[in-house]
Amino acid sequence: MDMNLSAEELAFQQEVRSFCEATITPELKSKSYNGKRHTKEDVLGWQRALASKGWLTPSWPVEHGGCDWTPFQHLIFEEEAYGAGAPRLVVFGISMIGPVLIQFASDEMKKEHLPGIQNSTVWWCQGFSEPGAGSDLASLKTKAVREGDHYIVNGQKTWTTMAQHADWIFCLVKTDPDCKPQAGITMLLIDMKSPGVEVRPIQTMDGGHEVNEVFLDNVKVPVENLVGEENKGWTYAKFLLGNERKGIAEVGLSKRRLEHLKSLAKIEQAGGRPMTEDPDFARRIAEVEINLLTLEMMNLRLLNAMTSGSPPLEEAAMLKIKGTEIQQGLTELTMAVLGPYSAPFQPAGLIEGWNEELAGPEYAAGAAPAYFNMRKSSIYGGSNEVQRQIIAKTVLSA
Amino acid sequence: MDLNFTEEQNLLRESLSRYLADNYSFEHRKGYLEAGSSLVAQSLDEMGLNALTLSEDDGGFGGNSVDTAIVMEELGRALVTEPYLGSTVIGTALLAGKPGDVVGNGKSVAAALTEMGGRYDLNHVATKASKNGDGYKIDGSKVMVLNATDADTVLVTARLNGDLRDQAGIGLFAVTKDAEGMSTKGYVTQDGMQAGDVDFDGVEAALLVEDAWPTIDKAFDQVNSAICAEAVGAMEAVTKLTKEYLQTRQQFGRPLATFQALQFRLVDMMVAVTEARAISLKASMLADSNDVVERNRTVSAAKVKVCEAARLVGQDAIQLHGGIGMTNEYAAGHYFKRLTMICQSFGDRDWHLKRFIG
Ligand SMILES: Cc1cc2nc3c(=O)[nH]c(=O)nc-3n(C[C@H](O)[C@H](O)[C@H](O)COP(=O)(O)OP(=O)(O)OC[C@H]3O[C@@H](n4cnc5c(N)ncnc54)[C@H](O)[C@@H]3O)c2cc1C
Repeated sequence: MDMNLSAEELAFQQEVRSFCEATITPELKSKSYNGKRHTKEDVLGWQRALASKGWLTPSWPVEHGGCDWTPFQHLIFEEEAYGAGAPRLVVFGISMIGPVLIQFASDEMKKEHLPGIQNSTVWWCQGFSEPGAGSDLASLKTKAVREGDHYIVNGQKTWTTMAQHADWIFCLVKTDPDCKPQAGITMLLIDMKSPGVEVRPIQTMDGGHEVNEVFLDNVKVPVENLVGEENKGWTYAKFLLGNERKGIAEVGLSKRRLEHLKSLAKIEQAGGRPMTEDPDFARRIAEVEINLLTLEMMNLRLLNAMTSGSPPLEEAAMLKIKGTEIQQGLTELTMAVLGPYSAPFQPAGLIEGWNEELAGPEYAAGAAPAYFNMRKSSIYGGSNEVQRQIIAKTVLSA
Repeated sequence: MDLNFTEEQNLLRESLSRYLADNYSFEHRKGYLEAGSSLVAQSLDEMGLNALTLSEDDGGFGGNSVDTAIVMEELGRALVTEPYLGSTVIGTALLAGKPGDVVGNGKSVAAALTEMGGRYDLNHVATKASKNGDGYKIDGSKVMVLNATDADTVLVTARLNGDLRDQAGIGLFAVTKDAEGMSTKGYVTQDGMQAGDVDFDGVEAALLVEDAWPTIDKAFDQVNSAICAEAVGAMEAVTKLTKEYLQTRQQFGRPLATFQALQFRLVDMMVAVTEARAISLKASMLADSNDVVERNRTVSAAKVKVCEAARLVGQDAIQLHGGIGMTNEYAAGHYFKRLTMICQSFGDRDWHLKRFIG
C-alpha cells in the first residue's frame, strides 16, 4: 500500500495542471471560485478545449475515443481541473447517453450521435422525470405510439436540466401500457427542434434558471431514433442511473469549495479577529474537512475496487449520500462565514459583464443562492432516501 | 404562574390572522413583491399594531414583548415582508419610554446598527459622532439596515468616545430622512425584504441616548424575541404545508405519508417546532426584564433552539417536497429562505451559544 502518487501519476498530474493553466483564464477561475454563473459559452469553451486534447470523454472505451486512464488518473484529472477553476461539464451527453449508446445502440446510431458528444457540438438533456413520476420513475406516462416509420410522442417531462440550451433530449416513454410498468418503457432520442416540443422555464428558489418543463405534443420521432430495442428502456435507464450516481460524490469540486471557504474565513471577522481564529467556526470547518477527507478515501477505495471488477452497489449509494451532504455543508458554511452580508439579493452580481457596485464584497453575492441551490443535490440523481432504500434492500436481502 | 393569553391577546391574534388570511395569501404576497409595494403596512398601522408597545401616555396600547410575539408569529406564518420588525419593533425598542413622534402612527423607522467587520456585535462601532454647535455630526457606514430606503427617521449608533469595540461610549442618534450627507444604497434581501447600506458623511444628528449600550442590549433582546416568534409561525406553516403535501403526493401507488421513513422526518420537524415555540414563549416573557443576565441568557437560549429548529425544518421541508420544493413558484422555498436568513440576523446560533455560556 502507498498513498503517494507514482512517478507516472505525478507526470500526468503535471500535464493536466499545465493544460489547465494554459486553458482556464483568470476571469473564468475567479468566476468559478466566487460562485458566479457560468455561461453556455464558458462551458462549451472548456469542453471544446478538452475535446481537442482528447480529454472530454476519458472514461469511454478507447476504440470510441476514451483515454484508458486508471481510476486514479480520472481522480487526478478531476481534482486538477476543479482546483484550476474549470466549469462543471454537462454530463448528459458525456456520462449519461454516450455510454448507453456505446453499450446498447446500433452502429448507425453510434456513428450519428457519438461524434457530437465527443466534439461538444451537440448539447443533450435528460427527459426522465415527469410531474407524476419522480422517485417512482417507472410510473411515467409519456406515450409513444408507432405509426409507420415514426413514433408519435405525447406527454410532459419536468425538471429537465439545461433543456433551454439543448439540441437533443433522451427520453423514457411508454410503448406498452398493458404490462408491468418497467417492462413497457422505451428510450427514444428526440431532436429538440421537432415540431411539438415546447420548453418552459422553471425558476428555482435561488433565482436561477437551470430546470425546465418539456412538453411533447404529437411529436413525430423517426423509428431510427429508438435506442436498442423497444420496451427495453428500463434496462438502459438503470445502466445510466448507475453511472450518474458514480460521478455524484464530487470530491474535486468540494475540495475547491473548501479552499474557497478557508480563504473567506481568513478575511471575514468576528470579535475583531478573523473567523479562522474563532474556535466555533474553526471547529465547523474542521468537521466538514474531516468528512471530506473521509469521503475522498471512501472514493479511492471504491475506485480501487473498480480496477478489479465491479464495486458493491451499496458503496456507490453511500458515496452519493455523503458526497451531497458535504456539498451542502460547504455551501452552508460559505454563507454562514459572511454573517449579515449573505442577505443582500444581487442576482445581477452573478452575471458576467455586470460592473456596477455591489453591496458587500464580490464573493458575497453568490453565497446564499449557492446554499439554496445545493439543496437539490439530495433530491436529484436518486434522492438520498432512495439511496438509503437501495442500501437497505441490498444488505437486507444478502 | 399563568401561561394563558389574555382575552385581548387572543383577539389580537384572531383579528390579525383573519386580516392576513384575506390579504396575504402566497399569491397576494407574490403580487406585492412583484409590484414592490403594498398597502399592507398601512393596514397594519390602522389596526394599531405600530402603537402596540407604546405606553398609553404616548397614544399606544401599553403592550409588551408577549404582544409583539403574537403579532410576529402571525406575520411569520404569512411570510410578511413589510418592515414590522425592521421598523416598529426595533424602533419602539430603541426609543423605549420616549418615542417622541418618531415611531407609531404611520411613522417609519430604520435602525442602522451593524457595521462591516462587526458581524453580529453591535458594540463594534467605528462610526463617529462629533460635537457640532448644539448638536452632533455623524461620520461612518452601516450595513444591512432593514427598511433603510423608506424610513422617515434613521436611528444610528455612533461612538462618542472609547475604542472600536467598547460598550461604553456609544451614543444613539436620530437622523431625518433627507439629511444632507446621508446616502443609502438599497437592495432587496434573499427573503424579499427591503434593506440597504447607509453612509454618513458629516450628517447632522440629534442625540437620543448618551450612554446607549443598555438600551441597545435590551432592544437587541426584544428584537430577537420577536424574530424567534416570527420563526415559530413560519416553521409551523411550512411544516403544515409539508404534512399536507405528503398526504397528497402519490409515488409507488400510495401517498408519501405512508412511508415510515418520511413520517419520522415529519415528526422530527414537529418536535423541533414545539421546542422552539416553548422556549420562545419564555424569551418573550423575559425580553422586557431589567435583569440583564437572565434576559440575555433566556433570549440566547431561545435563539439557539430556534436556529437549530429553523435549519432542520427549512431543509427537510424542501427535501420532503422533492423537486417542487426547489422552485420559486411554491411557498416552501420562500419559508426556507426566510428561516435561513432569520438564523443569520441579530446573532446566529454560535453567537448566541457563546453569549449563553457568558
Ligand atoms: C435541480 C434539479 C435538477 C433535475 N434535473 C433532472 C433532469 O435533468 N432530468 C430528469 O429527468 N430529472 C431531473 N430531476 C428530477 C429528479 O430526478 C427528481 O426530482 C427526483 O427523482 C425526485 O422526484 P420528485 O421531485 O418527484 O420527488 P418525489 O419522488 O415526489 O419525492 C418527494 C420526497 O419523498 C421521498 N420519497 C419518495 N419515495 C420514497 C420512499 N419510497 N421512501 C422514502 N422516501 C421517499 C423523496 O426522497 C423525497 O424526499 C432534477 C431535479 C432537480 C431538483
